[in-house]
Amino acid sequence: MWQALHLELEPLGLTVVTVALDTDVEAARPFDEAASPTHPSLVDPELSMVATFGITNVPYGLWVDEAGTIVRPPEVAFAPRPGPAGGDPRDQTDAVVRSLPPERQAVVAAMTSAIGDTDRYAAAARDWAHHGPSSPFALAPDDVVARSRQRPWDAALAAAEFELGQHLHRSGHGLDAVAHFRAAHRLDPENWSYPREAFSLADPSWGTVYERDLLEEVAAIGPGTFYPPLDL
Amino acid sequence: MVIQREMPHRRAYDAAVLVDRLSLTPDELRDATGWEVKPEGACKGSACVPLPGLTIGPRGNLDVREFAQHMRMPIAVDERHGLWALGPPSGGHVLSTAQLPELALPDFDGRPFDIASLRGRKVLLLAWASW
Repeated sequence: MWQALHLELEPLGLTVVTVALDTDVEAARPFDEAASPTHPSLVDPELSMVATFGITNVPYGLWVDEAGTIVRPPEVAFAPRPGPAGGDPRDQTDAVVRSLPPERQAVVAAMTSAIGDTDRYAAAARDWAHHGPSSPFALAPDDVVARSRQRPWDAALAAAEFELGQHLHRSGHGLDAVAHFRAAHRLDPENWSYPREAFSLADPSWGTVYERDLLEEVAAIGPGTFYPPLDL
Repeated sequence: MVIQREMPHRRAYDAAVLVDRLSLTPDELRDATGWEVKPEGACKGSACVPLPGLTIGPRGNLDVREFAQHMRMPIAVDERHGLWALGPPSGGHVLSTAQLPELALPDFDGRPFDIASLRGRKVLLLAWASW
């Protein structure tokens, strides 16, 4: 997905590093193999990136300069679409969306209305690769901190609940994890990484994890929260 | 005890921490959360949070709930399994500084990779998932 941009920008001193947030690493592996990355391609099955950086969905990106300073905090970051199909999870998603009833396609359209920025994000990254700190897209440290996600009490508690849920699932108590996955979503409804991960882990023996499916949850909580518009 | 994590570097940043008892030594607390209890308070990196009146028991243990209250860390509980999860400090922003924390994650073959090894290069760090 990002391999083309990596090849383009590597000679300019920029390295792409991708991190798969799948708790089940094997679910992500086929996409990694299809992409054949020459950049570091890492896994984060504990979703530590969510807690560390305030990531609330995927795909999200952040920029780090040569000194290890973050110059853009996490934001929605779609890669330019590759030419041939098969290396991008979106190919499967597109097919699923086309098969949905019109009213649910409308929810998807509202959720993804900000994604038209895929080329804009890559263009900004190019500008930064070429111009470094003088790029208008490289932010000052105070801006980076101010733009990073706020973490009120409920969001911090949601992180604790989700951690319990993940631990219980990993240790074979998936059914007991459900209450914690539900709590995490209720406490921090705009953090879509929680329900998306929970849905991907759900086993039929658990019953329903949430009262509604993902599209219904998004429609209820607000489609604009799923992929917030870029502030480039 | 503190539930062992697969990636000990997590204590460098504010991830949630699991414990199966609410009485820890300062060393255990530091190993789990990265916060070191000093006379000036709980310190991590350049940040210190005062802990006025924090009780240290006769065996040197402290109460996680009391610590959490000072740190504005919520606690989630699973009574059936006797587990507590200490959430990250609340209030403010997720990033307290623009400096990248320690970040070492494995690749798909389990080999560890430290982001710090890319110091001297710009890094575009991208999170994705099959879902």
